Amino acid sequence: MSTRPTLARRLNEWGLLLGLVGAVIGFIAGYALGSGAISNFYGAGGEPTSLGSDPGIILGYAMSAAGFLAGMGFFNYPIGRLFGAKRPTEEDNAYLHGESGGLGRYFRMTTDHKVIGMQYLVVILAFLFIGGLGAMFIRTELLTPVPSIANAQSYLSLVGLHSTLMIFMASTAIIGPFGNYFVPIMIGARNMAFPRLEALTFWLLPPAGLILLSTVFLGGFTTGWTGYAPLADQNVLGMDSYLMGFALIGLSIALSGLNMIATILTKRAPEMPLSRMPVFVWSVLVTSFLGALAAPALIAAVLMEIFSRTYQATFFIPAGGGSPYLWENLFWFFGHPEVYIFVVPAFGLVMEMLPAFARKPLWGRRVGIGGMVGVGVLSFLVWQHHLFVSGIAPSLRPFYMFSTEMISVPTGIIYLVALGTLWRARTRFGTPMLFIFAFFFNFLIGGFTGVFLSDVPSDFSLHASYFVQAHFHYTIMGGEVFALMAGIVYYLPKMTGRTMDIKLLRYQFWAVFLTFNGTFISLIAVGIMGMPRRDISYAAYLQPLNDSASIFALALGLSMSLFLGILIWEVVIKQRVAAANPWESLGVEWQVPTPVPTFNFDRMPVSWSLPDNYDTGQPAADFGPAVPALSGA
Amino acid sequence: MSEVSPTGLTVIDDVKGGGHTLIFTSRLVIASNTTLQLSLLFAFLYLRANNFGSMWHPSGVGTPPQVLALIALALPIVGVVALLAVSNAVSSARESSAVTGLLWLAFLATVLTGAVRILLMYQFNWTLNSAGTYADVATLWYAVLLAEFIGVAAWLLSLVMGHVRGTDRLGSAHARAILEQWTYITGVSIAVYLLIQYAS
Repeated sequence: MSTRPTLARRLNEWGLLLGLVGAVIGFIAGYALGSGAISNFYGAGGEPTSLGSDPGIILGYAMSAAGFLAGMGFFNYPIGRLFGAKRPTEEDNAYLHGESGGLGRYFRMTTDHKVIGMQYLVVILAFLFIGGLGAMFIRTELLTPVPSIANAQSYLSLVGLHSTLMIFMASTAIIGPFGNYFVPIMIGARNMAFPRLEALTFWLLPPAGLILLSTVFLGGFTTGWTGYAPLADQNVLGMDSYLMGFALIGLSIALSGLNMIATILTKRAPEMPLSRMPVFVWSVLVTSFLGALAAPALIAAVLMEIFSRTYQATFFIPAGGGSPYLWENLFWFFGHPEVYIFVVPAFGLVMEMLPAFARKPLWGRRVGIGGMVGVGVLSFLVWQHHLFVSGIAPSLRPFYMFSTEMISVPTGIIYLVALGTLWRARTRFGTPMLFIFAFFFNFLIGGFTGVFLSDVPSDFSLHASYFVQAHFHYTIMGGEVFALMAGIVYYLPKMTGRTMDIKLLRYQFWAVFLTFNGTFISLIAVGIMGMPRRDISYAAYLQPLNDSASIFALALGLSMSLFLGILIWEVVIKQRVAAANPWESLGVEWQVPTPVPTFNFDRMPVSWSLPDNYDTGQPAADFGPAVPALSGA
Repeated sequence: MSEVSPTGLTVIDDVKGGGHTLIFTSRLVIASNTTLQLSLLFAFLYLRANNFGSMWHPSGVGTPPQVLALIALALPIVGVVALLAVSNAVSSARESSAVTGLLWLAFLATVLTGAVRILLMYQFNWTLNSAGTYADVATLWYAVLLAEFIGVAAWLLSLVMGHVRGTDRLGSAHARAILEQWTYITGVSIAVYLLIQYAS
């Protein structure tokens, strides 16, 4: 059946290019509108600079994001529905799903969750690389105790850019690639509940990252990733990039959370009760609730700051009746659950992989799931520990100290589950397993240092020091990024049919593990010695430790680049073919063919057992007869 | 809403008679929206309670015009009644023309709601840089609610047009979901009105 493609389809083929054109047109239109027509409405405008005014930049960014999405074709369906257009046919849906295959579907809007997972992986790695370059600049500057290659202003902007970009990407580093790719397969669904919404959550990510990076053309921002007021009100136009970037990321997190919850709870195969759901899916479910419920607080805070910068509202300025604590409260009500948005899916991912290497079922599976749920619930009750030093009412400190320390209980349970799984196991030390071990080692140090920050007296001396910075990097980089690397090595054969050089990766693992710990143990030490973070200058006696951190960090950067290099060389250039199930996993995702069929299953799973029956060798699912293909196939 | 259901897949939604995903997700959206509304409520109460620099509600800064604010409340309530009638008509499988009439009525109420609320915001007699944080919170909150009313109105228009043009039959799940969304936003707008007018 060869019919001439419709105009919508032909435009969709050029989605990315049209999106970029739409972004440029949108920015120009928004900038002109914001700088002109609405600048007197409600007293908007502020003080224009040679680069423009806040309303112009904000509206320019907003309309460029909208123009990008319009060019990609995201508004075709809702606008068509507004005029009563027919629902898409099965053939239309199959086309949008990327059934025709080909590389082009990775550069346009598609509703195939597997393609979206790959899109996430590539974009996240690219932005992490850029953020990593920022870290290299920071550590190079800190080789000397006085400014050498940057001034204080540009250094602060660089710190803010590095940290915010990393936070953006870390928000979705596990769920983006692996959650989108594998959750529908793991629950026996053929697609997400809202496939277009899933595509939207991904395509909000590149504009958010690029808008944030564009801050370098607008003078940067000096608030760091936390964007504290009233400094945020006083910042130059570069602050607008931070706000619009965070608004888009907040929206993406919330929408992704809603879609994942709906998919897991309503699109699951009916034969699969919650009790048999893979532990990774559980972690995605918990994280999705965190995102859907916490991100709106961030959106509210960002809206207030945008109002402040465009309409001179005074939400956060005491002289105008506002308070910086309002920002701190709203930001951290989102910000602390955000930490678990990073970490809980990492826990889920390593607990999913662990039994395949231990060749044993996950020990205390339900308890481990309970641990993740416990971490998720408690994460909403701890945000004020970030305000211990900045002015929380003293009577509130004990509660938040206690609630924060309570989080170590469910986290400890997750550790016990991992240890119990490894107990008397015939563990296979495959390369992903090395990263899994490193995950638990690093996160242990991250958690241990966190106890000192949750404790009011010690927090008073450690707050805003390099100790905090090292703690955070131990949890997020040592935890989430190591889990990400484990996940890439483990799941790459399924996602691409290709594999990496496992022997070379072992060398890379030891390089990244040792340099990571060398870097951040040095920074724990300088933090204890009182060096404040975000300062370009430091006392001369701290130079040896700083130099140690910088040299290790530069080596860490090289070893992380080696990972990317191996990935690109082996998968893209050399195309090393992977075995069908190299880890001999029993998970359902390994029982479907590679490449995974367009709608996931040629034969539907009809009965499900636990996905980690390594003691009996029973696979996670039994499959029924072949299912009919789409009519458009 | 299941775009791949014709492939032969059986999912929980199908087992529960369809529409389950839509209703469930719509309620999730309400839960998520509640966090947004509670964040604004927190800002209102926090700034009001502390009255930093006596700049919560400085003298000379009024409240939104009462009559217009009441009209802006009455219209969404009419919308709730109309959508309730739509939902009942759809679930009792009443004839299509009756449903169409009710849908248009509901849509008219939503359009008027949006128009009156824009007019109301235009009548706020303050500039934000000097009116204190009461005006800031009131303006932002009304703007957020306006955006939400417009969003639900757009959804309703898509249902109306699909029904009128015969391209899509209005299902009971859709009717119920949009009724719940509109009722929720109307309820929040009543609470916001009471706060802004009487707890200033």
